[in-house]
Amino acid sequence: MSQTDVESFVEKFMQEFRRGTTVLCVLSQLKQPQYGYSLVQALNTKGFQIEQNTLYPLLRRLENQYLLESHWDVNESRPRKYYVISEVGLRVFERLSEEWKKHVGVVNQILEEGD
Amino acid sequence: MINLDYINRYVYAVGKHLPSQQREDIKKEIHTLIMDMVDERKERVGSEKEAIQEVLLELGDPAQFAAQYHGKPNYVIGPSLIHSFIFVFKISMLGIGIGLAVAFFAEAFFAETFTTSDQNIVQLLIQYVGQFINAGLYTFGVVTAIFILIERYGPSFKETESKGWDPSQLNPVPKHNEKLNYTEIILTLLFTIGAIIFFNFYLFDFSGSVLTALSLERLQDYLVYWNIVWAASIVICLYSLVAGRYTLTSRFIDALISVASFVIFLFMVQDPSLLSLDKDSWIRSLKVALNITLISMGISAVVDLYKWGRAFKEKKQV
Repeated sequence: MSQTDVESFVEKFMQEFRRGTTVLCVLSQLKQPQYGYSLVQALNTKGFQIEQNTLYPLLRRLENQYLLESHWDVNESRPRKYYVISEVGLRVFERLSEEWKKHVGVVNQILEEGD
Repeated sequence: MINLDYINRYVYAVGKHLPSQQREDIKKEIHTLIMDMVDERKERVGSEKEAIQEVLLELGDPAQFAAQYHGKPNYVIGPSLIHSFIFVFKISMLGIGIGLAVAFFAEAFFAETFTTSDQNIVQLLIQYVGQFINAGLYTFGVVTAIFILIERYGPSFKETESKGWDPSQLNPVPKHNEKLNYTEIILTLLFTIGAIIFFNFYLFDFSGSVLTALSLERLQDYLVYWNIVWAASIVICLYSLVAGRYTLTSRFIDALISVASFVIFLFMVQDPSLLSLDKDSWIRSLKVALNITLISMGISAVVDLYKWGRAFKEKKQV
């Protein structure tokens, strides 16, 4: 197997990896209201690669699940839909962060033992 | 040439695939998104047109963009329902097969459309096989449509959902001699149904019978026992099919049926009022019997040749 094959395997698993952590990262950025595009840029600058055609549908899904609230801002030159984390969303986020830190600890432990 | 209008086209194209509830809201959002992205790229790329081209390319196929908004399953029949689907389909086809078998024998024996036509029985059989395939396609469509509706609008079944399963519900592994021989069962079913129809309905309409050595009235007395035996045979076949294997009970009843058949036949053979000893009718009956034996031996030979061929093929694969 060539290095490119290895890399394509890695890329495939990393996609799953990123998918799993998207909700956590998105929620973390919405304590202040943001609109979709600004959120994409914020995450991208922080190193979290996500595309508009993934994020926008996700925002809607989270809103449907009552984790986010939204409102339209029609004052600017273009109408923009702003999302902000809801109260329920905040509680979910805090629990998710806890679980994430625990999980990271577990995984690191397993990897260390494997050495 | 790409221009601002293409942004509208893109938004419209995405909107086509969106659920109608949120369509306008989403379209508004996407429109602003594209404009924002174009503004940002304009400086880097130079021309607005090139920026639009780049942005739309990056956002990708509108249909796929829209697909991400759907929370619904993207399969036709999901893993939780597929086994039920296959089961329902099989049972439906079994029912249809039995129904057509009955119709086939009924038509073969006393429908005037057949008996007075030039068609021979093989042609009629082919016709019915065609009907079976047609019915199969139709059934497949109907069952699939029903399951699609269940999948989309029914309660969500979890794949691993089982009400209080525990290990004691596990069936024992079928041993080698418990595995069903489907050909044998299907053929038994077909011939038993045929026999029921023939002997109960056709034989007694038969005038100028070839089998004049046989007393039809006396035969009718025995028919009651034969019907019981045949009915039992059908029940056991269906039971085996549903159970998925031969059981001790089903084998016992099979044996009982065979013994009963033999006993009834023994009585029939020894019954003087059933068979007359008229020489002419005996000769004619003998001819028919010989033909029947000949056909049976022919079928037997074909079956054995087929079995040999299959064994040969299996050996070659080793």
